[in-house]
Amino acid sequence: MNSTALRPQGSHGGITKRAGGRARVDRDGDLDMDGPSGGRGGRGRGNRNRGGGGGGAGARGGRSGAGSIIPTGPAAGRADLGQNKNRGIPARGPRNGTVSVSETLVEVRITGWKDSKGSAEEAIAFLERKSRIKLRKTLKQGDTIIAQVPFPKIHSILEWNDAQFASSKLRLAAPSLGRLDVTERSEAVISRANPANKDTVDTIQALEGVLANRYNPGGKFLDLSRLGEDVLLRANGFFQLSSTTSKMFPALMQVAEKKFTTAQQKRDTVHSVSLAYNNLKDVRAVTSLSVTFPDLKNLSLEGNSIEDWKMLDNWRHRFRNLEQLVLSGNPVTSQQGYVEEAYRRGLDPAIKRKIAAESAAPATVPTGPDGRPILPRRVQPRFIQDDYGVGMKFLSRFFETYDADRASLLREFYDAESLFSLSVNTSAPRTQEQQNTRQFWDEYIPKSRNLKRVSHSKGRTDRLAMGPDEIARLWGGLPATKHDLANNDAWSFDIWPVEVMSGVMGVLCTVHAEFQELNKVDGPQKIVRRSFDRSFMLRPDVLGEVKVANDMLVVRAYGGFDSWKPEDGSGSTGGGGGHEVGEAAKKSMCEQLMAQTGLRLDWATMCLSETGWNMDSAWKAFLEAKANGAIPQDAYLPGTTTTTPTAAIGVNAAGGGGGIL
Amino acid sequence: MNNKASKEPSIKASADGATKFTDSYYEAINTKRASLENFYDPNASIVWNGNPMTGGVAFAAFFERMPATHYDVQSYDSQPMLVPGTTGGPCNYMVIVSGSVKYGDSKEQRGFSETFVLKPSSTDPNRYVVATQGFRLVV
Repeated sequence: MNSTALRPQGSHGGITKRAGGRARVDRDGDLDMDGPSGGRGGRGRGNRNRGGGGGGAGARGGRSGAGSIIPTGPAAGRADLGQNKNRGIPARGPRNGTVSVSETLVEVRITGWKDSKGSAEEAIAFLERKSRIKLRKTLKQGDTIIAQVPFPKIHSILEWNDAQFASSKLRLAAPSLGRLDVTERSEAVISRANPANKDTVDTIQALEGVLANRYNPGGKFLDLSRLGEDVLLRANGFFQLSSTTSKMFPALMQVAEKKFTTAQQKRDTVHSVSLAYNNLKDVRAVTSLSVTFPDLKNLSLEGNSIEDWKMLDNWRHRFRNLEQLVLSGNPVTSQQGYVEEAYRRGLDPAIKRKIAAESAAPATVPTGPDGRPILPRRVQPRFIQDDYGVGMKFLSRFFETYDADRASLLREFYDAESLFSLSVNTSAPRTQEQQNTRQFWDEYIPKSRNLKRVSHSKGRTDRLAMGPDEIARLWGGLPATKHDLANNDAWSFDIWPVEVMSGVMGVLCTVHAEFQELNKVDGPQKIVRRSFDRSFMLRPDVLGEVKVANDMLVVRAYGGFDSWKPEDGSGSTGGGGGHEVGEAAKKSMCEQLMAQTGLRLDWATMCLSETGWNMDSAWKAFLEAKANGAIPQDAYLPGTTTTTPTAAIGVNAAGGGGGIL
Repeated sequence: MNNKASKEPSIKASADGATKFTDSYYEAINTKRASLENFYDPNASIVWNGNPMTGGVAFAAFFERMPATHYDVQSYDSQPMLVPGTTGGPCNYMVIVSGSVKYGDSKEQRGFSETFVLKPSSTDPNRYVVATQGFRLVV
């Protein structure tokens, strides 16, 4: 719990573990790398950028084997490899009079086996077994094995360069690779982009569609933001495998390249490109942008995960005419000295503002499918940064108890310096059905501390209840309530650590939900539904017990619960998996799942990534795996006992030790 | 009551501080976005519709990309943040705001709820800045 906890996520890698990297030697002395991505066309060594869903594969790779919640491993990828092994590459007919690139064989030269204890045949068998790629037309020539591999597999086989084989190292090279003609290369790039869709023609059509949809001719603006959420891309099977985002982009650029034949055409057609919210950690994956559009004027990288100026330097000089580079929402902007550095590089916020005002502010605001203006950040699921489960535990206990036994809450959580006040917003927006109903506030108004209305000092002091006795009196005068904890969607809450005063850390919980009330004015039969906002500041008392410092309640007309439904569909109301979920949202979901289940971070991460970052699915998968005895004890945080939550926020927080705040 | 009486100055200061803050903050957000940065502590923690951000610079940059906004504060309340065992001195304030907001050309009034923690600025203790902000559209 520290003040840096809210910095944009993604830089710490705390949430996702990357597969690969460390090699180990198995019992046969064979090198067993942690899953080079084989038939997926090669991971591209040193490519640190993972696109959407990358965290999923990372977590899977990070821990697999017995006891896993869900069958682990990239099954789709394995099936793909198996097919290739048995049947070779599916043959494809000629297109436009050229031979499809997947039929092109590329020569691989293998050396190093001579120094080993094994034979050439054993080396070939070893490579085929490890890479699951068939080496064709193998030929021994002195100390070199010459073999042929279909073009789409060449990068995968080359990943085994330097592999440990029978006390020596195998060297693999493909000297003819550079001589392949440009068309073949671009087609290979495109076919690699979408392993789920084997037909390159379809892939090109899909990518052309994406470009057409995302090009705004008036603004000469190509909007490639949030590609992970693109319906057309998803429908065509992109992003089904974690590695495809980084492959998709070069393919998209190849298709763009084909659209414009001259540099002048490109200059005239595209002035601005947005790559916002693509989860980019660096710009390597989109280097092809600078090749295709070297004369770009405006480029937005907003909302990515770029940490470092170095990540940009190699790239920026390629755009000689760039006037504006938007970096807001990247970790680099939170670095100390960012403003000075930005100024030095001509990216001073004032310049940015000026250019943004001229180029970006459209006369009419674009609207979404619901007819509402699109806001720069979408509504995200609950943000929960609750390291010891203090906030979740409190909210759970509070709302389970509030309707029936307010006195016990006062004993448990309120001390002499706890404050409570209520304010009524009688003119709040409300749902359509509530528009023409008369609202009665008679029981609330005399207690309301809306400072807009209550201006006298005495009234302000009288309506602020301090300590359990005063609070009990105020609560006792309020109508009886019923909070429905079973409807998960009706509850919004965000929890994060906050400094109560210098040096004293606490937890802020902001809650938005609804209750039913027995309204005496309307007669005993009438049940009134109201919405409320309630913010709690939790802090330690002198003994270190969790107490409420501030409890602030706003009561307003019923406003429903659509407004906090996550717009990216990753929340509890969302559909299937595979959505592009931001790193921060992922971290928040992990924290929530950890608090609910008591799982350790790596297990919570795995559970979520296996279920497509959907809280409900992850919870169900957890229960199922738990029921099947598939979760070992060491998957849990120390000292955790897990109980099944009975309601939306009725969760059992991870039983963290003392010193909670 | 003695206890509460001793807190009277803090209670009054938090109410006055909240009035001053909400008046100027929502005016800035509606009409003077360029000045938004000045309302924030450099390390302010912000959660906007579930999106975390850090600091006024990041928030102001984010808000530059917002369509035009018209916020209307319909109610607000404020409390001092008291910690037992600590004495005197200025404390932080917690402010909760409820209101409506219109975006862009849309006539639709959305409901919002916003919670702030205000703290004395490190450079000028008489000035309060946003240490924490939580925003949700609620209607």
